[in-house]
Amino acid sequence: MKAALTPVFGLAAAMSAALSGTAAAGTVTGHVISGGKPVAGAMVTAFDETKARRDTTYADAEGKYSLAVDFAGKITVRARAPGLVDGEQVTDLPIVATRTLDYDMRRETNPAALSDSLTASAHLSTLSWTDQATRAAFISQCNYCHQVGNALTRVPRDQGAWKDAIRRMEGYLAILTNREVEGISRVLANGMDDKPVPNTQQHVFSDELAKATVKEWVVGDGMSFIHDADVGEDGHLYGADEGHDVIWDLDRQTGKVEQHALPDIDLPEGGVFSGFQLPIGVFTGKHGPHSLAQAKDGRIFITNALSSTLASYDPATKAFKLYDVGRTHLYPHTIRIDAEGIVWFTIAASNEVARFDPKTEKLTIIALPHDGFWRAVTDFAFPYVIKLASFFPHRGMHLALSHTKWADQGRDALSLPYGIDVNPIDGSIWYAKLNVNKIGRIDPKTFAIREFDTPLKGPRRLRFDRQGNLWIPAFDDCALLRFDPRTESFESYKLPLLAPNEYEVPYALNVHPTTGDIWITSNMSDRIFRFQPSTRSFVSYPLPTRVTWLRDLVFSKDGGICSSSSNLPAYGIEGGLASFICLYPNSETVTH
Amino acid sequence: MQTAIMYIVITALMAPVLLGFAVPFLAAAFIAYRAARTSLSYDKRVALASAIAALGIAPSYDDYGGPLPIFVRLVRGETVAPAAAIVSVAATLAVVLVLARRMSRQRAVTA
Repeated sequence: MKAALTPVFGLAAAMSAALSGTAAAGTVTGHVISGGKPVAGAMVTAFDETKARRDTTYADAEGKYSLAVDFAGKITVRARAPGLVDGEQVTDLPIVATRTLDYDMRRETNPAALSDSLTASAHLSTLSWTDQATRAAFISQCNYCHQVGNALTRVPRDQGAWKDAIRRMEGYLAILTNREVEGISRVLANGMDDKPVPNTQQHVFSDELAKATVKEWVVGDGMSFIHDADVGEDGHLYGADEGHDVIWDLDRQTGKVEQHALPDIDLPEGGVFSGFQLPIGVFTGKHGPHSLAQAKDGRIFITNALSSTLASYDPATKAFKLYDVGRTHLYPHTIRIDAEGIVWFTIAASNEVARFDPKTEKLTIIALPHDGFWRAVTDFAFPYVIKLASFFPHRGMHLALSHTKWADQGRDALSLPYGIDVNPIDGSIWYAKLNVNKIGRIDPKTFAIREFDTPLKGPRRLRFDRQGNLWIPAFDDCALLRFDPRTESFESYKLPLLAPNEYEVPYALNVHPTTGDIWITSNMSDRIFRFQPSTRSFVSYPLPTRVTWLRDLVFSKDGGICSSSSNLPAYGIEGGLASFICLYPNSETVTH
Repeated sequence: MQTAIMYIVITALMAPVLLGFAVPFLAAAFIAYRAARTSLSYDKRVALASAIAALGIAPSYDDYGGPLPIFVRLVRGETVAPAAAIVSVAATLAVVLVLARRMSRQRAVTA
């Protein structure tokens, strides 16, 4: 249907774009077939000449596609589908023009190439875990910020080399017991053997795919770590680059990208975490901007995880202002702003939530329940251990002193308050504790706290819907949870897998303000999920770039579901660079 | 040099943990010292008790520089290099012997 309308739609879209001064150029249309049959759901991606822009659409059930491209000139158009060899064609695409490019894709018969084309989730499915506890530690800690099983991370190593790799990760913040290190390194040494993995994945096509487009804007370099993105009132995408202490600013209309450097601070590289094995991940900064949210006055508030500060950035004046959170309050994390304009954020490594009033600039720290003896030890001692470790920069001395090791506590030693959101019904503040499988409610006036155990593990970045239901991604258990604060009851939904022995690590979700659909990151299979509560059904959108790891999802006024592709490290992403990414489920409504 | 200083600091800070884990050995050392009062000379009793205590305290450092008593690592199924274990026990024994003699000398002076 869409393809049949292509010439008219393509011209209209391009003219509309030209009139509105946007970047849209021409349209590419065609068919994707293989062996004479249509390839439903094939991803057709146009790359600009620099490969910094990528626009993608999906072929419909008849294999037809129509892609309104945002950029003109010499473009490369790639067709990609599971089990088939990528097809590429180069064409010149002037403004207000349509090009027809058909693809007859051939089946991938080379087992190694077929294996290489599979998602990270497939490569992990062949690992032989000897016990569930070690597997659980692996999922929780080794998939914490990135995929394992992609081309970069499935390189065969012996156990000693895997131990070295894990040790490096522990220097970055992964938390494992020595026993877990031993078990994980053994399984990876045995399982990551470079033998092709069999393709048992089943991709379910939905007619919804044919309506959608995906737009990607490459940003930063191979060491960028754009942790979170947010859509500004001006429609720009802002991204907090924890690797480089900059805020990326993308004007999606023009494609222009600017970077705004955070002001310097009297701290060494790594900030208060300078004793950690640096750079933490790929961080070369002192602030580590992490999460961001825009206030009603237009200022964007940013949690600086490494410098224990809160920053505000004014897009109008491009001015930053720093607010000290206190250097014993470690790792300011996810940030949200309530209806009264109060800024709330979790402080992950100190088991705290902060409240900041932008009008009075008053900061209040709310200590959360300790959740047991060893976590109380962490809450008390961690700032001092961090301080002590900073006298021996980059040595990871905290690991030598940590009871995660000597008391065999592992990740259980940290509560790790993570995601946070505001209940639209009563204004209460809710947070998730990632490591202790709890969610909690804070009364915004009295600061009274009440916590609830979640039935599944790894509650991460949660969000409310308009009715006051709390939706929670269960990172460690590959599921979506719904919590009704009125009845204090949970419901769970398993995420759709590409094969029964795979798993996903849903990092974040968001609830669409008008449709009520829940959009969820998958992160192990380069997909994004849409859950429709009314039918309790999922739609899976495959994403065109391999090694896509998404964090906060935000909605743009023009119908996009946007995020930052922020696998750690960025050079592990196909193409080697991080990007902003927006999925438009109804591309006909896209106005830019 | 920085590594050596770091290990010293770590060991000093972790001394209470090492002693905590070694409590059964320290108790055994005390009992042995008392029990052998009639059968062994003072020097031998101190040496025996110190040896038992050293076996409980002697640290093994993991890849992160974190010390734990050798016996704890063995109980947990972790590997300890025999040569490193021997050196650690010997060094610990030397330290414990010196401390034990000092303590008993101080006690004698006080008495």
